[in-house]
Amino acid sequence: MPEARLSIPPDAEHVRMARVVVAAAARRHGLADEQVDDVRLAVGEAVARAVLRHEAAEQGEQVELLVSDDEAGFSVRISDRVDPAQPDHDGGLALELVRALAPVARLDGAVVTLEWPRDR
Amino acid sequence: MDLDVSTREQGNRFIVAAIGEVDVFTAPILDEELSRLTAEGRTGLIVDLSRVDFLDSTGLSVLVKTLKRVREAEGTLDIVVVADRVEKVFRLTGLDRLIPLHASVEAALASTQRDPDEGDAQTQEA
Repeated sequence: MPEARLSIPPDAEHVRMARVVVAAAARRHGLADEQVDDVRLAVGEAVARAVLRHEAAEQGEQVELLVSDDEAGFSVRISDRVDPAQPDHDGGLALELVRALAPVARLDGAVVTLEWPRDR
Repeated sequence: MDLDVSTREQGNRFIVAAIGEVDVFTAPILDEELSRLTAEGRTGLIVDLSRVDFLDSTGLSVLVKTLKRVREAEGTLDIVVVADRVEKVFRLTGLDRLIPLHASVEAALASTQRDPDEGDAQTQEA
């Protein structure tokens, strides 16, 4: 599976589905249980953040996830459609957790990229 | 719904037991119950997360809000955590330094006996 895409409506009730799907992909990629837990939480935080940004901006577009699974490692890209200048509802707590959980975490505009590089 | 919340009274503590996942969708259920209790002046609280296998930052925010209310009323907030992945969220955010974490409800009850008179009664010789 080189790439998989998932789009969810910007509603809190759909965040769990994104977590479950991406955690399953991470397990399939061969990540250890503890790393799968990190993926589940980091992706949950990033997707919840995107959903809450959409709610705050009263925007109904889908939140998009792109999951890549290749020799370089496992990565997830979470994209929202909200003006990047809009502050987060939580003072940045979700992003702080994301950065603590993912070996590589980047925020570029409205896109959060998380990477678990394949080691060895 | 992926979260059940129920409250029981034991001694002079209110034990709020959550079962399931606490996330951006379900955290309002926990928030509602904890807000109800603090509004009623019930501020000796133990939140039992021993049967919670997922907790995100929205769940943490509910607990932080509760901590503020409880402290204003000179009450106590203790948390019971079993799952590593839940404990990790407290550790990564530093919240484990603000809210006492316990491995069981019994341990939380034992640690929250802070009333001096009660403490004396408990330790007096047989």
